[in-house]
Amino acid sequence: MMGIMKNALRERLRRKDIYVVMGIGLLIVLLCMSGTVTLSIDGVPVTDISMLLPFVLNAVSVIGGGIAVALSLRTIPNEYEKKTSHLVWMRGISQKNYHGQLALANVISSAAAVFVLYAGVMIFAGIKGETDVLLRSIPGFLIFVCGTAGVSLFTSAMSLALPGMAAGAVSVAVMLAGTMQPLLRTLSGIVSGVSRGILRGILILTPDLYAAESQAGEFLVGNQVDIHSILGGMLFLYAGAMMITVFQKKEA
Amino acid sequence: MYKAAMCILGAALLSAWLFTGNQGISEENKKIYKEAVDLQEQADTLGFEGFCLADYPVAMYDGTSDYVFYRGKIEKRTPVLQTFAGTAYPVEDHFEVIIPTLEQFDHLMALTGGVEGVVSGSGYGPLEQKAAIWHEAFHAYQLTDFAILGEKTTAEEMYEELENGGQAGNSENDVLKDGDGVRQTDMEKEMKLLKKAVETDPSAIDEIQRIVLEYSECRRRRMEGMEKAARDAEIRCELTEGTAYYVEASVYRTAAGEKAYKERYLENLDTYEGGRGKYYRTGFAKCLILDRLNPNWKETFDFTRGLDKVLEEYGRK
Amino acid sequence: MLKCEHLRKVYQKKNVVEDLSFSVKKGEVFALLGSNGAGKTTTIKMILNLIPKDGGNIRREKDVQMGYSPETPYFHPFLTGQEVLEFYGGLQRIKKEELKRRIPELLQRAGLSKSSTKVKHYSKGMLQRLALAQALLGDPQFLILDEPTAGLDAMGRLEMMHTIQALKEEGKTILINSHILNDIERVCDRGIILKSGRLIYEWENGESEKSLEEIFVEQIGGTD
Repeated sequence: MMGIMKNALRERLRRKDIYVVMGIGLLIVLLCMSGTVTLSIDGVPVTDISMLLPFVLNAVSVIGGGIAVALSLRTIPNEYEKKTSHLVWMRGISQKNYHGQLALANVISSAAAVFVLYAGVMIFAGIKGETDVLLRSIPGFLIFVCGTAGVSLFTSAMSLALPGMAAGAVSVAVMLAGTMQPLLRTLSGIVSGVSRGILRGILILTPDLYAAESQAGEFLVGNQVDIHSILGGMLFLYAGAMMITVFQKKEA
Repeated sequence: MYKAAMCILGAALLSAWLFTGNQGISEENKKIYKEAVDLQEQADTLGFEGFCLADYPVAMYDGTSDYVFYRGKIEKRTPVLQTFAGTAYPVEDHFEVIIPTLEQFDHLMALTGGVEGVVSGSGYGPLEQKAAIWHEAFHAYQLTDFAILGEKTTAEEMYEELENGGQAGNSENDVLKDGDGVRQTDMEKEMKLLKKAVETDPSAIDEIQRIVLEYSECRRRRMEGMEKAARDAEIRCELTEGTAYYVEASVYRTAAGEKAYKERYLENLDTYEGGRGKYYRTGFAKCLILDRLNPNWKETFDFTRGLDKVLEEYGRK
Repeated sequence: MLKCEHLRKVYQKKNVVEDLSFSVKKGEVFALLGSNGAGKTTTIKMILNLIPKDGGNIRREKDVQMGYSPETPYFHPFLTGQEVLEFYGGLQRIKKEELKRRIPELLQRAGLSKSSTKVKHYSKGMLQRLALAQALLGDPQFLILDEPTAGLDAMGRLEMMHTIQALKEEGKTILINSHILNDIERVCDRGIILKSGRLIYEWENGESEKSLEEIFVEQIGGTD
């Protein structure tokens, strides 16, 4: 039933590059949290988990977003370039089903990669004896991964609609604009004229991934979460899924 | 069946997102506003007659929308001023406080280097936000109830002018920018005198009066060498901003405590900086000195005279 | 088994297949012949519904199962031959028990019994044989083989021809696209020669005293 997805996942598991990327990412997260790298604001070191979490989760979301784009960008085009798609289509598998399964494999592998990075947060919470944070970390991950999954689906959809370089550029731009929404919003209030128009356009066209993912941080430390932001993340996920079903290839 | 389910899911998500969007202002901002209003009692002790924060709508701008807090309600609207600024701004027939949300202020401060001496993200936190709301509310009060230095522009007039393409703010900003002709050494000497007067034992009125006289003489000499426009701008800025800063500092003192108040507002009372910032401090210092010279000075104070005139009046008595 | 009527395909305003009509009868081995760029592979893709046609009709016998071996077979390199067959068998919804029984047979028939070798280590010939094996999954009645002997050495070609012959004897209907005329003449019953997307000659094995090669040269003129 889900053979295409399983096969795409099997390919990921047998490739070495993903382990290297995840290893480096995990190392960064652990370094940030262990104190080897000292985060400081105005020269004051930040060691409290409630202050560290927003920074680390933001870093994980950006690294995770990058991994999601890297993992999702080539999966579908590769199938077409190598003509693997011929042997799938001719077996009566619909394009929607085919693309959907490949995109799902992208989502699962991106989520798994982000989970490895996120595990750094869990390990740190465990070491610090923050059992509350540890217990909330699993449901918190579901909130957190929404944005990454959305980036993965969006990238898969773009890889169907646009040529390789353009799809990559659009996906990275959306991912970065999404994770840097607060900065862009602030900038849009400072600048004027054409720059403001451009920034406002970007803000309207890109999802607020930062808001969606930062709710995981709020949830982990026991703060109230903003449902609107989480719904925004889910809406982006939904839009990505819809694009996968709408965008079709003319030829196998 | 599948298509229908997906359509329903999409519609449900979209409507839930739109619905919750109306409640988009964070709980923290709501809490800040409520706690700011709760500081009214402290503001009342200052003695500015009829000044009440709750009388002015407070619009928090999150970069997308304004959330207007007024009379127990929060209303979302298209932003009046699509820029991040703490200001009192005319909206149709009244003045409103317009201020970025805490999150936006925090990001803004982070971008511009943060607030000196304070540790909380960029340095800008809920306490600073409450103080800023009071500062801007005081401007709304000034603009609504008084003819500042004898000049009165109503909210309707200002609103109309802005609607017709006029610029917000006033010409004092242009006059008081860096390099405004004020000699730093002279100004620093005056600021040191004002600080000294503030730090003098409040019971030593004679000594305070002596310092005030010395200050007034220095100031008079400095102003003689200045152009009229710069002089007027300084008097106006000191009057409007100095008093607002005085209100801000007072509520901050209640909310943050004595130590934080001293660090933030008193220790740097003689710190010179280019532009308008120094007049916030000189005006603030004059208010504090007036409190020592005559705690009832606000009973006759109506913003038609500069603070220096008021200070000279009480300094001689 | 298959009837194509007035097929047409346009690529970048150029007709690559034009007014092409032919039919393949049940149990016969039918050849699509022509030089490179004659429109053979495009025709096969239209039959398999891999690309849309710009005109004409394709009629297949109802419920007929098709197997396809592509011209340049590519399989996921991280899989073994057995895993490739399991994967495509799964897509065809062949039951696991059936696959378990069938796959070793197919691998043996393709001479690929060493199941632990990954596809990335396969030679071109091995890939061609694996492509044929996957085409035979589900025991289809109709096989489409696109250049099945391309890239094979002499021995490989011979083995492939034997396999095709054996499939014919099993009653399979086979459509072969090839430009190796000796191979075609050995196994095919009928065929058509295409030039610039158009049918220029209908060939039947044994009908003429001339060899297929002679006919081909005559029709194509040595060049396309």
